[in-house]
Amino acid sequence: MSVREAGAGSSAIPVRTRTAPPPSFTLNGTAVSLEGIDPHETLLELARGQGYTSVKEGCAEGDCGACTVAVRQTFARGSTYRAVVSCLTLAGQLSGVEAWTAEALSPAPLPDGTVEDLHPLQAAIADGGGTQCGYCTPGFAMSLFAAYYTAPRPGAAPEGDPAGEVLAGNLCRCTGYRALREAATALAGAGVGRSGDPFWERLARPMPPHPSVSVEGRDVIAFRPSTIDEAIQLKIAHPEARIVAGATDVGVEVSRGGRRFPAFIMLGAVDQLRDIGRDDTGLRIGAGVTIAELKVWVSPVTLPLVHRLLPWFGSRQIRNRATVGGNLMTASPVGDLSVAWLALDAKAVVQARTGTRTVPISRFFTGYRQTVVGPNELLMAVRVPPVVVPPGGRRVEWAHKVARRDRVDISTVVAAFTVTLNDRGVVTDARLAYGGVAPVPARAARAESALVGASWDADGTAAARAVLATEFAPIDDVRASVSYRARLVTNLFDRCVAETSAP
Amino acid sequence: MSRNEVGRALRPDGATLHVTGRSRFVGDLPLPARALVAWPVQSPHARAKVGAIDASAARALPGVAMVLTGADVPGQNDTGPVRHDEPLFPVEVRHHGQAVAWVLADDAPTARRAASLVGVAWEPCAPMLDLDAAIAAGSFHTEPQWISRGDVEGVLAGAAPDRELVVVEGAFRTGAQDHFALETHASLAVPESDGRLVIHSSTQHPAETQSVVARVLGIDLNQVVVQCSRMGGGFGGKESQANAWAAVAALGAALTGRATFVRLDRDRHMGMTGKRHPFLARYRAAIGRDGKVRALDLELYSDGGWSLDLSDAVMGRAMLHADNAYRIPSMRVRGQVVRTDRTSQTAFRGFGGPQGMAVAEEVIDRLARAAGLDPHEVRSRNLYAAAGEAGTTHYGQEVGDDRLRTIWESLERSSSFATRRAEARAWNATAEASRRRRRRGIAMTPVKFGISFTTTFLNQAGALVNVLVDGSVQVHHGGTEMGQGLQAKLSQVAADCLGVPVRSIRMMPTRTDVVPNASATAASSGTDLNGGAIRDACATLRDRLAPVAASLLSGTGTVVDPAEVTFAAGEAFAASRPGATVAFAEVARAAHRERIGLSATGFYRTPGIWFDRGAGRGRPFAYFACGAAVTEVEVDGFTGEMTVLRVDILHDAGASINPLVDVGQVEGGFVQGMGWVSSEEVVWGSDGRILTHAPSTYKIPAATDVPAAWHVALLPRAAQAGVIAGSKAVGEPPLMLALSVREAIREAVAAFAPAGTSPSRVDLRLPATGEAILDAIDATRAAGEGG
Ligand SMILES: Cc1cc2nc3c(=O)[nH]c(=O)nc-3n(C[C@H](O)[C@H](O)[C@H](O)COP(=O)(O)OP(=O)(O)OC[C@H]3O[C@@H](n4cnc5c(N)ncnc54)[C@H](O)[C@@H]3O)c2cc1C
Ligand code: FES
Ligand code: FES
Repeated sequence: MSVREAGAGSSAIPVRTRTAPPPSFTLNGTAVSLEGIDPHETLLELARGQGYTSVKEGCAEGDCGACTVAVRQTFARGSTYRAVVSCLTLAGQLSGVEAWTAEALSPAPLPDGTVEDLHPLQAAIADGGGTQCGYCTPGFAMSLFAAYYTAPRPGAAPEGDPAGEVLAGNLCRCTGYRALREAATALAGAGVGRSGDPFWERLARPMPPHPSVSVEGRDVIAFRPSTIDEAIQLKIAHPEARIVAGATDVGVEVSRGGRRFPAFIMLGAVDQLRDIGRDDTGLRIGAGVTIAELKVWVSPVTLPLVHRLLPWFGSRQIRNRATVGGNLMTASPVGDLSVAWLALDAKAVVQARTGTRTVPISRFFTGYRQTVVGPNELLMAVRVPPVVVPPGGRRVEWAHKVARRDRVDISTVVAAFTVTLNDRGVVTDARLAYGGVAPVPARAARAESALVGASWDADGTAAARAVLATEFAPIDDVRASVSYRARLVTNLFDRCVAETSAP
Repeated sequence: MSRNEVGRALRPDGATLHVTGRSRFVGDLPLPARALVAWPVQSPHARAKVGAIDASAARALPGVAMVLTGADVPGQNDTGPVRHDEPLFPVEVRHHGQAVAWVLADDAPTARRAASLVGVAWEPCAPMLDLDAAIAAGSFHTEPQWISRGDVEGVLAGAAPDRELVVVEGAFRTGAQDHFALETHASLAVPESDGRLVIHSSTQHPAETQSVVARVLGIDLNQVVVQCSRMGGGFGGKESQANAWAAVAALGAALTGRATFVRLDRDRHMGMTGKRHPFLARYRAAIGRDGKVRALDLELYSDGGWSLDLSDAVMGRAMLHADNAYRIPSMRVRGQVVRTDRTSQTAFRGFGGPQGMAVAEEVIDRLARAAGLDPHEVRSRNLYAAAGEAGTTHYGQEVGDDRLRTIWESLERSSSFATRRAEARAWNATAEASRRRRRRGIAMTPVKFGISFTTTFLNQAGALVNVLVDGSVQVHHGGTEMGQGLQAKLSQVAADCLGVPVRSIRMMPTRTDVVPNASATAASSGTDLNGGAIRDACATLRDRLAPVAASLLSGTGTVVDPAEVTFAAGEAFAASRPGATVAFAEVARAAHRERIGLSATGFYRTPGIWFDRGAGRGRPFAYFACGAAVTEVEVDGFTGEMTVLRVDILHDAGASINPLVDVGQVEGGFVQGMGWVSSEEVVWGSDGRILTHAPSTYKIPAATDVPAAWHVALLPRAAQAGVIAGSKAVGEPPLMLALSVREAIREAVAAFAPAGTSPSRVDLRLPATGEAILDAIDATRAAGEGG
C-alpha cells in the first residue's frame, strides 16, 4: 500500500483534493510549481535548478551560511524579510513561501562586468573589500539584505555586537570580516522606510496565507496540516512519517546525510502551536514558536535566564527557523533550551488524540535522544511556572554556554542555574541544570539539596560544590575531554557564585 | 612603466559579479546534456587490503552508468604530484575514507545511493595513526634534511658549567588545520568531438592537473586542456589535491563519452583531502643573560600522512623559517617527513613557514622565561640586522634591509605597546580582588617570510597578451584566481605596462592551451611571477607599437623617434610633439593594417636565487616579506574562553599595487592564522576517522571572533627593488602575524601566577582551544601554589 493510499483512507486528512491549489512558492518574484517535487529536495537545490546559482552549498548542514536566502514572513501587521539557510529548507515546507536570492538585488551586469544600479549593500561589500573569492558573498548579501530592511529593535543591548549578530551565521575564509562588519554596522535598518525601494514597499503587501497543501513526490508525501487534530490524525495514520517543525535538525539528516523518510508531517501551518503568552499558571510557549520569536519576546525581566542564553543559540538563520518544540523533541544532550527549561522547572504539554498531559521537563528525557512523547502524540507547548521570591529575598538566574567558538557552535557544556535566596542571603531553593555532561540534559539533584540552607557565597557553597564535583560522569568526544567537562561543571558554578553573590 | 592604475585601491575583478550572484564556479557551470555525476565508494578502515569489489547491485540501480575501478584505468593508476605514490584506485587503502571506486550516475543522489550498495571485501590491518609511534617505528617518507651553522653542540655542551648561559630543552607540537575553502573540490570533464578532453577544475595548478589526467589516461598532454576561471578559495588545498578528482572526472568522460562531474561535498572534502601538517619539534636552546639567543638545536618531524605529496618542500620551508626573524648564531635543524595512515597533508598558506615560526616563538618564550627575562625584550634584542653576521640567516642569505627593526619600532609606538602593557598588568592586578577570574595579555611578534618557491625551477611564468584592433586587450597568464586579487593586480600591471586604462584590459580564464607548463599559483608568488611575464609581453608589444605611434604622431616637419613615444591613459604622445596625441585604439588599428603582430608572449624567471640542499646553503628567496602584529586578549580562568580585544598590524607589502586587495590579504591571513592557533582543531578518532568533518565540529573564526578594535597599516615608502611595480608578495606572510595571538594568550595565562611571581615556563598547546587555555591556566596556578 502506498503512502498516498494510506492517507486517503482517513477522511479528515488533508491529502490534496481536486479543488486544492497545486503547491507552489515564489522565487525572486516568480511562481515556481512544487507539483511532483520530492519533498526531500532542499530550497538550495530548487533555487540552483532554477538557475539561481548564487545560492551556494558550503556544508549542507546549516553552519556556513553560503546558501543563505531571504524569505518574507508575516510580522506585526505587515511582513519582514528573514535570512534562512536554504540547505535546511525542504521542498515540503515551501508552499506559499516567498524567497529571494542575491540575483534579485540588482540588474544583471553589463557585458563589461559593470552594473548600473547596485543595491547599496552590494556596493558596500564590493567597495569595502568584503569579497575576495566570492563564494560566501551572495550568502552574506542576503543576511545583510534581511538586516537592511529590518528596524533594529529598540532597547536591543547596546553593549552587544549588532554586526556580529547579523553575520555570525555566515562563514568567510578569505576576508577576515572587517569590511563585512562595517557594512553590517552601516546598513542594518538603513532600508527601513526607503520610499521607491521595491523591496521595502513589498513589505506592506499582504502575505499569501499558509496554504495547507501537501507536496507529493513519486513515492513520498509531505503533509501540511493546519490544525493540531489533523496533525495527530496524520501521525496515527502514518506512524512512519517524520514530524518537521523548523527542520534545522531533520534537514541536516536529509541535506547532508542523504537520508530519506517515507513521509513527512510539516507543522509550519499549524498556527495553534505558535502562541506565546502569560496567564496565572505562568508562561506558555507554543512548540512552534521559533527561537527568533522567543528571543524578541524575552527580556532581562521576563525569563532572564533564557534571555541570557539565546544569543548563543545557533545563528540568525537557524533561530529564524528552529523551534522551541523541535529543540526539546530532538532531545540532544546539549539542547541549550532544554537546559534552561530544566532550571526553570518548566513542563511540557503533550497532546494525544484523547487528551493533554503535562510532564515536568525533569522527567521528559528518558534516554539518549529519547523522550516521553509517544508515537501518536505531539508536543504542544512549554509551561514555565511563575517565580516566587520570599520577601526581602532575591532570585539568581544565571546561564553560560561554553563552546569551541563563541557563536554558532554546539555546547561543550552549558549550565543554567536558578537559585532563590531569602532575606538573609540563604538558599531556599536551587536548580542546577547542565547540558553536555550526561546522555540527556540533567540536573545536579544532590548538589541542589546540599545548597538549601547554605549562604550564597564561596565559603557557604563549598560543601555543595564538593557534591557537584561527583554528580556527573561526562565523556570524551570531539568537542572536549572528560577532564575539561568535569572542571567546567564546578568552574561554571564557581563563576556564577563569584558573579552573583553579594560583594 | 607609468603608475596610473598600479597603486589604486581598485575594486577587484569579480567583486561585482560576486555581489550580484553572477560569478560562476566550476560547480555552477551548466552541465552538458547527459552529464554524469560521480560519487566515491570509501573505505571504512584507515588501513586495509582491498579485496573483491562487488558493484553488481550498484550497476543494477536505474540511472547508474558505470562503476569505475582500478581495472578501468588505461594509463597509470597514480596521481602523485612529486612521487608517484598515490594510486587513484588503491589495492591497499592508507587512510580512512579513501576512495576505492567511483559510481557514475545521472544525478548525485543516485550515485550516492549506488555507492552505498557497492560491496568491498576489506582485509583490515592495524593502521599507523600516531606520529610518535610512527617515528619510533621508523615510518618515514623521506631521509632527513639538514641545515646547520656554527658549533651547536659546543655551545650547548659547554653551557652547563657556564653560568652566563641558560639552556632549555623540550618538545612542542603544532596542530593540523583544514583549509576550509568555502568551495569544495570540483571538476567537470567534457569530451570534445575530436577526442580532446576539456576539464574545468577548481585547481591552483592547472598544468599539473593536466599532467596527472594525461598520466592516468595514458595520453599525451596535448590531448588535455584544463581551465580554471576562479576558485572559491584555495589556500594551498587545491595546489596538488585537485588532481585526483579531475582524473576521476576525466576517466569517466573518456570511458563513457559523457561529460562527468565530480564535486566533493563538505564531509568528503574534509575526510579525503590533506591538511596543514601537524609538526613535532624537539629542541635544545641556549640564551645568554644578556638576552641574546646563542644556540638552537632542532629536530622537526611532520606528519605527512599516507603519501608524500608536497611534504618534502613543506618541511624545507619550515626549516628555513625556524629562525622566524631572529638571529641565532649557532643553529642546527634536522627535518624529516613521517608517514602515517591519515589524509595526505599538503600545502597550506605559509607552507611549513607557520610551523617553523611557531617553534621559533615557542623557543624564544621558553628561553626568556627560563632566564627570567621579558619575552618581548628578548624578541626585540634578537631581531635580525640588515646585513653582515647579524643579518645573515642560518642558511646563509642576508636579510637585505632593516625593515624588521623599522616595523618593530614603529608598531611599538603606534600601538602604544608599553603603555597598554602596563595597563593590562594593572588591570590583572585588580582582577582577583574584584572576583574576576580574567586576565589580559598583550604580545608582539614579528614575521619574516621568504618569497620564492624553494624549488628554484618553479620560479618561472608565462603570459600571452593580445591587443585587439579596437585597442582593447586580453591578458592570459598561468596564474589562477582564488580570491587573492591576482586578476585585479595583474590587470593594473598590464594597463600601466601598455599605457591603457584598466577598463581596456580583460583578464582571461586560466587555460593550459593558452599559457602552457605554468607553475602552481602558490608561494605567494602569483603577482611577482605572472606580473613579470605580463610586463615582458607588454614590452614586446610596445616595442612593436612605438614605431606605428611615432609615424602617426609625426606631422609635417617633425619626425617623431619611436624611442620618445610614451603610452599612457589610452593614448600615445611624444615630447617633441607637445599637444599631439593618438588614441591607443588608432595605433592598434594602424599596426594591424601594417601587418604588425598584436599578440605577444612574455616570460619571467626570478633572477639570482639558488639553494644547495645538500649543503643547506644558498639564497633561496628573492626577498623577505616582513611585518609585525600586536595582539591583546582576555582569557577567562573559569572556562579558558578567550576574546581578542585589539590587534595592531604593520605589514610590508612593498609599493602596494592595490591596497584594497593587499589589506584584505593581511586581514584574511591574520584571521586564518588566528584560527590555526586558537579554535581550529582537527580531531582524529582512534579508528583514524576525522571527527571534525564539517563546520559543525570544525570551527573556523566567525565574524564574532575578529577583534573589535583592529588597526591594519601597510609599511609606507616600501618599494622593493627588482619586483614588479616595486610590490611585494602578500598572500601568505600575514597568516603568521597571528602568532601574536598565541603569545598574548600566553601572557594572559602567565598572569594567573600568584601576584609578584612570574612563571619560569608557560606551556600552551597549539591550537590554544578553551580547553588548552584552561589546562595552561590550571598548570600555572598549580605551579604557583606548589612553590
Ligand atoms: C547550524 C546549527 C546551529 C545550531 N545551534 C544550536 C544551539 O546553539 N543550541 C541548540 O540547542 N541547538 C542548536 N541547533 C539544533 C537545532 O537548531 C535545534 O535543536 C532546534 O531547536 C530544532 O528545532 P526545529 O524546529 O528546527 O526542529 P526539527 O528539525 O523540525 O525537528 C527536530 C525533531 O523534533 C521533532 N518535532 C519537532 N516539533 C515537534 C512537535 N511539536 N511535536 C513532536 N515532535 C516534534 C521532529 O520530528 C524531529 O525529530 C543548531 C542546529 C544547526 C543546524
Ligand atoms: S550550505 Fe552551509 S549553511 Fe547551507
Ligand atoms: S570571500 Fe572567499 S569565503 Fe568569503
